Amino acid sequence: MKARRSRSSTLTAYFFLTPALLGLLFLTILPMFGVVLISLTNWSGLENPQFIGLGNFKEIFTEDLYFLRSVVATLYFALGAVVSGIIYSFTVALMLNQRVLARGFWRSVYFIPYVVPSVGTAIVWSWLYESNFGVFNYVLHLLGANKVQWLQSGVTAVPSIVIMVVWGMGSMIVIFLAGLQNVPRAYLEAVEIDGGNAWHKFRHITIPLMTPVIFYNFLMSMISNLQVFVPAYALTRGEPGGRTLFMVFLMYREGFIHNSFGYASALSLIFFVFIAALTVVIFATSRRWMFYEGE
Amino acid sequence: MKRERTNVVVTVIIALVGLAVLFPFFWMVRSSFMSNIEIHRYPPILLPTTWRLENYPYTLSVFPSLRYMLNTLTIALPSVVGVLLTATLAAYAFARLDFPLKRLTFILVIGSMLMPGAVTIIPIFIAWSALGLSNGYTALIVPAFLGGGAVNIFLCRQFLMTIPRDLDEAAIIDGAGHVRVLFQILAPLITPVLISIGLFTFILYWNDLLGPLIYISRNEQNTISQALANFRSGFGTDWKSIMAACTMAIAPPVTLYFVGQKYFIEGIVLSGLKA
Amino acid sequence: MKKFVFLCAVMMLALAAAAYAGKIEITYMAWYNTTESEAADIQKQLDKFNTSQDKIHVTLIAVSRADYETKLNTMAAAKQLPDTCIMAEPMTIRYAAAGILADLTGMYRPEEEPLKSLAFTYKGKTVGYSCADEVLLLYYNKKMFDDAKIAYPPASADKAWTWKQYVDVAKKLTKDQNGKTPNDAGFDKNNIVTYGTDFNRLSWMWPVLAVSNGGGVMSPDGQKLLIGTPESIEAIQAIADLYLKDHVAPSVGDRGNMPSLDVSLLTGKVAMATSGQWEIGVSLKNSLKDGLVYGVAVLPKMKKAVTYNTGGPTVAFASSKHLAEAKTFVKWYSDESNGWDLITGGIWMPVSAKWYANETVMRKWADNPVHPPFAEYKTAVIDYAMKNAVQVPWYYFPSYDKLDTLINSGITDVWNGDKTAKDYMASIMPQVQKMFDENRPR
Repeated sequence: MKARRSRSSTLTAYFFLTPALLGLLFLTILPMFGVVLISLTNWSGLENPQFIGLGNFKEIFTEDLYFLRSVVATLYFALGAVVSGIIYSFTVALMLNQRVLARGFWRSVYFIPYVVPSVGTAIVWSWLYESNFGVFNYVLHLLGANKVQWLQSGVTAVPSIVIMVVWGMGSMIVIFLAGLQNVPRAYLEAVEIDGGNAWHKFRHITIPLMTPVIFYNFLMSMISNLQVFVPAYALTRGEPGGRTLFMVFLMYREGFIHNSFGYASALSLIFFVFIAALTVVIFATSRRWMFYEGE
Repeated sequence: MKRERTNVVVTVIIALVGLAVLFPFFWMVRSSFMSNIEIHRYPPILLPTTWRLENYPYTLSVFPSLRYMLNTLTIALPSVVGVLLTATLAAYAFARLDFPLKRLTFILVIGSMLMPGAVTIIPIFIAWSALGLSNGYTALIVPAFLGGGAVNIFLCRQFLMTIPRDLDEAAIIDGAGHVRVLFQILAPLITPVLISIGLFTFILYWNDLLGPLIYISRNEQNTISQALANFRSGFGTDWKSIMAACTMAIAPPVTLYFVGQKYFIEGIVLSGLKA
Repeated sequence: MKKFVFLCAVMMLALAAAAYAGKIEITYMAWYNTTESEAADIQKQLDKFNTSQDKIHVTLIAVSRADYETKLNTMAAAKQLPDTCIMAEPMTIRYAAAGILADLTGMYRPEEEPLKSLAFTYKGKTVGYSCADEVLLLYYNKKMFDDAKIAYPPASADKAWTWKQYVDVAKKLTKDQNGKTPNDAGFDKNNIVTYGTDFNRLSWMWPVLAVSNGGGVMSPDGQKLLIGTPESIEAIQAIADLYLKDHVAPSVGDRGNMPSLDVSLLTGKVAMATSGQWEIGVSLKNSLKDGLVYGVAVLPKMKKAVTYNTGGPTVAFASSKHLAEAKTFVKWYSDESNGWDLITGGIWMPVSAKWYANETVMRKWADNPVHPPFAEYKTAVIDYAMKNAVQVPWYYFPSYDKLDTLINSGITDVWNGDKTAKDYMASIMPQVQKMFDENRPR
């Protein structure tokens, strides 16, 4: 039974929506205009801004040393973190979905890293990764391998951060587990009756039914991990050689430390357009491999 | 044909990997009770030879965790209130009321869920500066009262929509206004989702680093994440104290999890399965 | 009679209130390195100022060093700058170019003026003086030299080692886990236990070798970029080769994980290391009780013996509502008697010429158990600072921090051997030149 549209209902609705609408206006819409405006200046925050048109963009796309490195680093990290994260979370969820002893306890264990402040995670893991005293290199040493400069070597810097971030993705495990438990038993049993085994169940029932969940989490995780900041600020500051110069950290550094608000805003705008485009692409291609229960 | 037996292989794998997942916590706590020389021992030793309980009072003397945590609470608690309040209001409007442009506003609000927050930090900072409020907690708390995040609005709405309207109707017939319906009738029924949102919001603010970096200038106002980040970067890192400080910083969210476990899990499931 | 007494009391109260209200309030912002407890030491200095006179009251704003630039910048954008602060060196002249710093020219009488080498200048105006003189030095573990029967590094600039001499000595002191040096057959470069030396690769420190070779970052007038010259490139490669070819220095990653200088020297992780004068008071004195015997020497040279001098400047902001009082405080702060403990404690060196005039006054602040033996300290540090020091370019170049970040943006590739110094410099020179030209002081 639809709600009656009445004058009081409309007034109440707008009244209730005022905070959210104000938020939309002042935290999203107007700031976006602000980003565009400031990106057309060379504002330093110290003096009055001067309009320089597309100067920042020209510099970023033709001469800049940081932009390309940052894009590569950010994409490499985000893709790595999201894909590994989904594989890891899904696998753990699959396992937890079996008949496991003390499942609730283990679910908590896998989830807890999620509530840890990312600064704390970064600090503790940096010690584990420490090349002379850290446990990981000690284990390598016991296995007869050479020590690895986890966070200082160009090859392993981003993967090290990926591992650390995936460790914290406890929420995805819980989501996937719930999704798996929502797979109707009837379908699985139907496959069994038809003579299928676990693999068939997995491929033809579980995966297709989980695609919406996977999709949603892939998208949100991508958006979130593209904005990675804490490992760069608290651990590497972009080292080695710009391989961890993540975009949000670069924006922060150029804007708030190097007094280049104009340049940093230009970066923000490009970053936004990129994420928006990526979102559209993900949505558009989702039709191809997503599966809804009704179909 | 149900299998009653526990799957031993999987249990073992889960347990081994689970222990690996717990290892960083163990390492952190164990280091916090050692001396710096012991921490630097190579090969590393598993447990401290003596448990130096005095590390904690010492760490507190150079790193006043309690004050930082209190600061963080000063931001987090009002924010939780703000989020719960404004998200619920908005959700009620979408779930229960009909009004012109409802579809459009809904799409706008949900669309803002996809908005990467980091993009707008600069103009928002400039705006607060112009208002003279860029130094302090205001800039960090006020956004919570402006809708509290599209995800939360959506969650609330979904939950509200599962509640039959009969209760509403009965109350309205009795002469109750929408405010009463929302706060007296419906709110108690959506408490689970509100608790979940509250817990998640709290964790979000506990962990936030970029916001405090920009808006908090006085060190005595630092939040726990901010103070930890600064502590780490000084000259000649004092690892035992850093580990102790980390342990203290992690304790509240972890405790909160154990206390509100049910709501955490339910909240995640709700938000993650909404697709 | 009662009325009279009452009136007197009221008048006295009013006078007291007026006197108290008359106290001008100013703020001073400073950083602490790691922990807030360091701020207590700064507060002690401010308390001294506050009690020494009753016209001005200064309040401390203590900010973590890691956050410092951001805090200043956000305050500047919000037009809420303090009255005075100690400035992060690399951004000082950018602030000066934006007109935010107060002109301190002529604030001192000639006989009390700090050394010229400590003046931050822009367009002929002085905007700040370093609160202390700091120079780069070579520290070494004397016991290790004794055991290896090698002569100590030279303690005076005219005897400074050439680069080759420096590397040769470092090779003799580098040991792998089997006790072999890089000169021995079978030397295992993957398992070095003691490094002969570390030449500090901190972004603003390593160019001192380029200066020594006739290059550097830029000319002292800030008009000519020198970082891309063959001399500079040669110096960069030489530093990288300490690790890559000579095997006497740790990789930059390992260096980042090494403990503080005193512990590194004491435990024999490194036999020699370059760093700033402040290490004497900040780090080295902590291990004296554990038996550390260290020496201080001049840096090795390539063509000429030279070192860098630096020191964070105390500045006053043009936006201050009490500029005169702010300047009074800045002047007071630079008086050595007000930071005496920091000077005798080996953290700061004095800023005015009078404390370097003769041995007697030098001994007053440098001859004590915290400092190395005076004879050594005098030639290796004091004479070195007075005669062989050049300014780090941030004394006169706006936005040195941006230039520094750019130059060092990929230099870890050179330190790790993934790129030669020549190729690396060639790849970044266009942008570096552009940034230099955009920011040159005019």
